[in-house]
Amino acid sequence: MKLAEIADKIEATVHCQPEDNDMDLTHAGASDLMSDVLAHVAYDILLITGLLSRQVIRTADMMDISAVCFTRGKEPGQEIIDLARSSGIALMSTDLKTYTACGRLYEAGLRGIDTDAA
Amino acid sequence: MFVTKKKIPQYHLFESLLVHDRARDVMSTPPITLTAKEPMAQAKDLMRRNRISGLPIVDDKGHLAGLVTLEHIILSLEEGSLEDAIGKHMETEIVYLTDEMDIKSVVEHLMTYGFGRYPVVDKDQVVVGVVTKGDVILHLLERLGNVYLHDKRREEILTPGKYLLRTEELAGDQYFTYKIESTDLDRAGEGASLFKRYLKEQGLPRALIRRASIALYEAEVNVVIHAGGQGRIKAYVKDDQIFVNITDTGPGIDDIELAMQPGFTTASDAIRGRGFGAGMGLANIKKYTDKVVILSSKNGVNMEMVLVSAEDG
Repeated sequence: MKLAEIADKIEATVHCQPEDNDMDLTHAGASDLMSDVLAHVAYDILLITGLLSRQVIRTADMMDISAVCFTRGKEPGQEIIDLARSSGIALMSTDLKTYTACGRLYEAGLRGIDTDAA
Repeated sequence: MFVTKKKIPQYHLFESLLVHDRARDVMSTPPITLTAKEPMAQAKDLMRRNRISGLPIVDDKGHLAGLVTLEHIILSLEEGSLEDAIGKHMETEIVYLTDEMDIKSVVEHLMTYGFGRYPVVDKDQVVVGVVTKGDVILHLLERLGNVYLHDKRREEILTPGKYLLRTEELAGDQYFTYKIESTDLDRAGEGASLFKRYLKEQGLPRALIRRASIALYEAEVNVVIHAGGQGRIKAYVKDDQIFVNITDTGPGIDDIELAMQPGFTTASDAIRGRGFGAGMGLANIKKYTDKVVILSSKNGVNMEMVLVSAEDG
């Protein structure tokens, strides 16, 4: 699923995305616990989280996660947007609750990561 | 019967290996026992069949009631009283051990009393095993063997030029260094991020880079959270292998085995509230690296990681 379509499904604002953005995501995951993300996620997903911090971007960067969406109306500051941009990560935010955002995207075809691909 | 008190050996060198071991870890179990009602002849047969030199005698609830040894059997043979009940001949003043007793006390008992075998009872006085000197020696050898294996592995990884990061052996720009000097969780990961860029420049396989970056990130977060934010990362790449060394000047890890367990954490709620400290750090490092050695003291942690490009290319 293209970034624009994802943003549309969950009423998200796109703060930044890689210049040559041609990402086409098939999977997504949601967690507020970066330790768990580091333990379980395979690459190329959309990370949906209610945790707003630089460490979310760091974690995504380390994991080769290509897109992050903050939920519950959490707006990233410029510093976080800059970090995402320099890391080549697409960044979005939505007013939806995490569960609702996940539900809509699942319905639209983004699947969960239930295999351990590390 | 007289008791010779022997000098208790200076085994403090091994003490640290044995602090967690109890009599129950050493004993032979289940114990071979008889009741006092049975004839001495049966004790004789049982001892011969099992090639043992003594038997704890128990009541019908398994409680320790006495002990029959070769000495009793010999006397009984001489007297022709093998058909007597064991209760008539057995020793009733017995030195026994409890299953909770630490190894130090076990060794002290062995040295003090000089008997060949000691029944072990649980808190209800039920006989649960027997300890002989041989059991103790075998246990010690096993422990020492483990230490030896551990040291061999460590040696393999830490041999200079092979695995240990000897920066003096590396020319100026051939290795990566980063100094961690902040307790600010927001800054944690800067080193790992630079490291990832460095690895990309080396043209390594993506999956290998990813594993190394995650492992280093976890280690860096650990330094920030647990070690007062003072540490150093050194790393180099050689033949599709990545060697990483992280040292810090924190208080060290109390119990590395425990800390390696997924979910074990000493992190504060504040840290947990920020998405970290879930107790996955060391477990993740182990998961994503091919070799990891952690040396910990009160003066800090010294961690070595080795990653080898595999089929994950």
